[in-house]
Amino acid sequence: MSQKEQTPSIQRILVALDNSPASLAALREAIILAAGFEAMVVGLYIEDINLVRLAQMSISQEVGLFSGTSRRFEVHYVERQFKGQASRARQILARLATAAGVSWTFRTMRGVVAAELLNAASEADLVALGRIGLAGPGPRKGIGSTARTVLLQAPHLTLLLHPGATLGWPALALYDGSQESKQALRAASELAQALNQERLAILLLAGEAKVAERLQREVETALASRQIETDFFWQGELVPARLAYKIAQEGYNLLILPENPVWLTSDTLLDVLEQVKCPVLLVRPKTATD
Amino acid sequence: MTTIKPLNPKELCWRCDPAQFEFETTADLAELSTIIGQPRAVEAMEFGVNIDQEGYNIFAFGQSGTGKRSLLNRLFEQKAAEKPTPDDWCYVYNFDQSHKPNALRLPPGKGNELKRDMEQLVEELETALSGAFESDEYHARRQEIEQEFQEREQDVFEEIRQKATGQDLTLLRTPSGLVFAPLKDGEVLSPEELQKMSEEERQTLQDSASALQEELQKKLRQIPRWQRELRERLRALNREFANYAMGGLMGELRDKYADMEEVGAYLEDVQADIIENAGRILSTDDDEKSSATHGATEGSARKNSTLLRRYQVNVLVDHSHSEGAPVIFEDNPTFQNLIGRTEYLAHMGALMTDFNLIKPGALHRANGGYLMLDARKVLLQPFAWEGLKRVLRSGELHIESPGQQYSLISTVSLEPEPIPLDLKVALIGEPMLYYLLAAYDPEFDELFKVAADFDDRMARSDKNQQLYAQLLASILRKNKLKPLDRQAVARVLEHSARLAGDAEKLSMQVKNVTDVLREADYWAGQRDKAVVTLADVQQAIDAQIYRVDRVRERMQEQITRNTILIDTDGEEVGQINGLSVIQLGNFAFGRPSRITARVRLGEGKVIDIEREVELGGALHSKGVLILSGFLGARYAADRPLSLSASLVFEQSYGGIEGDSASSAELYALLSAIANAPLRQALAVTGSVNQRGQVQAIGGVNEKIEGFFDVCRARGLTGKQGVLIPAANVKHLMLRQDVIDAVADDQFSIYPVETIDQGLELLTGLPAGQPDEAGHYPPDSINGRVQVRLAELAEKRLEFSKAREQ
Repeated sequence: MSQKEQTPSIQRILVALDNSPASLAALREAIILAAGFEAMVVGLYIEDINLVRLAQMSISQEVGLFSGTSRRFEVHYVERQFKGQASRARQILARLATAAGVSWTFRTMRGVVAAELLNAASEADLVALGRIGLAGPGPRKGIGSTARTVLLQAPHLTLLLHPGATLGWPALALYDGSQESKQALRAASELAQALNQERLAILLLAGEAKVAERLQREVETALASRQIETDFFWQGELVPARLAYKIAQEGYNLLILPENPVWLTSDTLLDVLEQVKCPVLLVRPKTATD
Repeated sequence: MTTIKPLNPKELCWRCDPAQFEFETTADLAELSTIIGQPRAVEAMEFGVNIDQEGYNIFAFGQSGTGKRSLLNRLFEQKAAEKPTPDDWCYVYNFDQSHKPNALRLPPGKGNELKRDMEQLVEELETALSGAFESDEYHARRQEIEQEFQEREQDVFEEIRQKATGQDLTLLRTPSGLVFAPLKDGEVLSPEELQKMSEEERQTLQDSASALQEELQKKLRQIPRWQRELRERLRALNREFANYAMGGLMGELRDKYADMEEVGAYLEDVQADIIENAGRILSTDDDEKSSATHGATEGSARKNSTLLRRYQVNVLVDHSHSEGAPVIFEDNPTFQNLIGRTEYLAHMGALMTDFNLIKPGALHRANGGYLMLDARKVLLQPFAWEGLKRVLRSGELHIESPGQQYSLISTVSLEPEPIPLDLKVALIGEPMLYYLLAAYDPEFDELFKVAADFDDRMARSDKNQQLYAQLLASILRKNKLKPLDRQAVARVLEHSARLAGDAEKLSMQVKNVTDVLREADYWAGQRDKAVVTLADVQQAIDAQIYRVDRVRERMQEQITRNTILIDTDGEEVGQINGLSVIQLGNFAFGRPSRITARVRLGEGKVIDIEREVELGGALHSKGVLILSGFLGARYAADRPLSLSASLVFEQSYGGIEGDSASSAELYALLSAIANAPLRQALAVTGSVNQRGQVQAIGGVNEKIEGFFDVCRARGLTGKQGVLIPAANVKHLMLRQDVIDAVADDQFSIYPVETIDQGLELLTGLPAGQPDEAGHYPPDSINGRVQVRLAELAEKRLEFSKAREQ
């Protein structure tokens, strides 16, 4: 029995939609993954409760991002905007998912965006989201606040994409022999099979060559049954800039990162995410309830 | 009574003496170096070829097969070899007005070289540009610029954010803009909390928000300007790097074409355009990058290839392999084949074109040299004649389709820069076309000032016979045919005289002679002979006739079976055998026709029945009217001509044209008036004038042979013969069987000069000489006519008196 015929490890993919280029990129890639895993895509539009509150205050004025003109920021106006945004997000999801033959559903929720997204993520096997939501004034670097919160708190798998980025192969997975990296390796191999890929690059994080050799054997053993060929690289420690250079040089289109509180602290993770330009899949160990 | 002697056999045909030729076969003869028999045409064409003035184009006209084209070609080739090879012409992109491609003139062979160089440039372009644009230096410089602008925007908004935070406000993003929200402990204030604030606090908050909004608005208004500035800085950077990348490539090209000013200017334009569009060429512009990532790679590639097409060179005329000036014969002179055309490509349902789709016409290819055209074909092709005249008049080639000219199609089109024209055009056609054009086209005389009139025959002098033999040798060599022996050459010359219809001429319709040579070669081949003999030539001539004489045979059969009534013995009043010629394609044959005349009392009219039923042509009617004139003047000068006569070609169901039967009609008419029977064993041809002189006619050989064949089929009696105008004796080139019959006194040919001579031969009566009063002896044929007409006049007078009483 092939791996695919077993119960798929990814059955529900949650996509946070705010119609920003990054969220639409996340949606497109989520649909490709859903097709590979025969999973369902759940589109989620969250109406920001803060905007509703603000509109209820008589002092609020909205300044048009393009035109620079101001107008009163009122509740009925916000409600209409939410409705319009949700409708557009739903239409895009429906069109793309139907074209790919993927089952889908769409939900609208109201609340604090990050909290609602985390709440919804608990029911999903994978969360796909853009690095930056609807941009504020001026160019923004790094990761948006919502993405940051979800990355640091979302259970299990989180896929993060740049606007216009495409998920694909070749892919690079980090491995240090920890339980987290074993789970990440498993996720990577499942992903490879879902996308009909036969090669996987592994970056071994080991302080010594002997350890690296051991880790390599572990990986080879783990992947032997899945008929995936591997290319190995070895680095003594995780240096975000060096990792980003390696990815750009080799042209990797996906980085699979295991959560590791030892060498992947929140700051290091955010540093990696800021420097790496390709999509990143962060694998967090499943809890008992997962 | 005068006695007209029949012609002796030697007068019936010219026989070429093979002994005059010194060669054994034509293989011994040298190639004919001069053009024979066309001194007028040759002089005209030499003049036309050499004169270098506007409008001195040539119209060569003459009968088909007179060698107009080969002669023109020969003269043009000779002249072209002395002239320099003309320049190449190319069309290139016009960077200022893309719909008006520029014409580039380059020395011969350089057009293709430039085309290859430009193709190589385009090939290297992407490598060179991508090398520059993918370099670390470029990325660093670009990033530096982008960073500078990002920081400028970031700084501004960061400043606003910080100011907002300092006033317990935060900046929130809405779906379409930005809004300042009051904060408390890092959280957006709820409306209830706001309500709890004092009026003063709320006002302060609102004032702060308003002030910040104003500042934000000002900053936002600066963004488009900064973005424009960013784009301009990036473009300048692209230009700088493209310039570095292109410098080497373009420098080499500019050095190579340094001595060609126009090419140098073109290369400058190319470089400027490449530098300006470097981003688009590499699809590095942001919008194109974005479209590529959205799956529009194909569209991008098309856009890119469309862009690169502008750097191609369309070589319209390439003289890399030419030596001397071109000599072109355009066999299909349609408007587009002459002037050139712009082709179109279907793209997204619309027709698109560019300078690469401009195609040359014959005028482009012949520019700097000579162009030969079939006049009939040019006139038959829509717009071709007018197009040709326009080009010759303006002296430049302007490519414009008739559809465009007449606004029949409305699509994107081009107005290519006109190309100056310097060539000699020669039209080849029939004389009729030349005369019609000269009469009805006012521009014709201005544009085709040189008329080269080709003769279809030449004098049969001894020298010309020798030259003709040489001409035959040249034709045989050119067509790779077996040589002819002397007897065969002599027979071909005789046949040539027969084709000319004149024993003293040789035909210059070389095409017909060449056909005989080809066919004689075939028959000689059938007999496995290496040399063509007299028998082969004769067989070729006989077989040619046999292949096309079915109709003649059918008509002869109808006469011998008495379906068509023709008497060849006995005597009849008012009835005579006239002779006519029927032309079927290239084959002509003669046949006798019975002509009858009837007279009665009348008012002096001779009715031409053929004319009455509109079967007779104008010339025939003219002949009949001449008869009235002759009758009146000779027999009724002092009294009214009081008869009514009718003339008809019996059993004629087609049209009758020409006046060659007018003497026969006169004999029949006089016979009817005088009641004097005519000998039916004789046939008559010849026209007559009002003074009774018999004049020359055409087709005399065919007419004699036509009557001879009828007589022979019925049995030659020795009394049969033909009366021909004496002026036609020199045209006689009769068949050998006719000559043999004459030699055996079985058939006679009488040369007649006057009607009186003819009357004596036909009636056996003397014509008679008029006395001083104009009266002929009563027993002469003329006297009997005079008496009869006098009687008719008397009767008419009596009738008139009786009516008056």
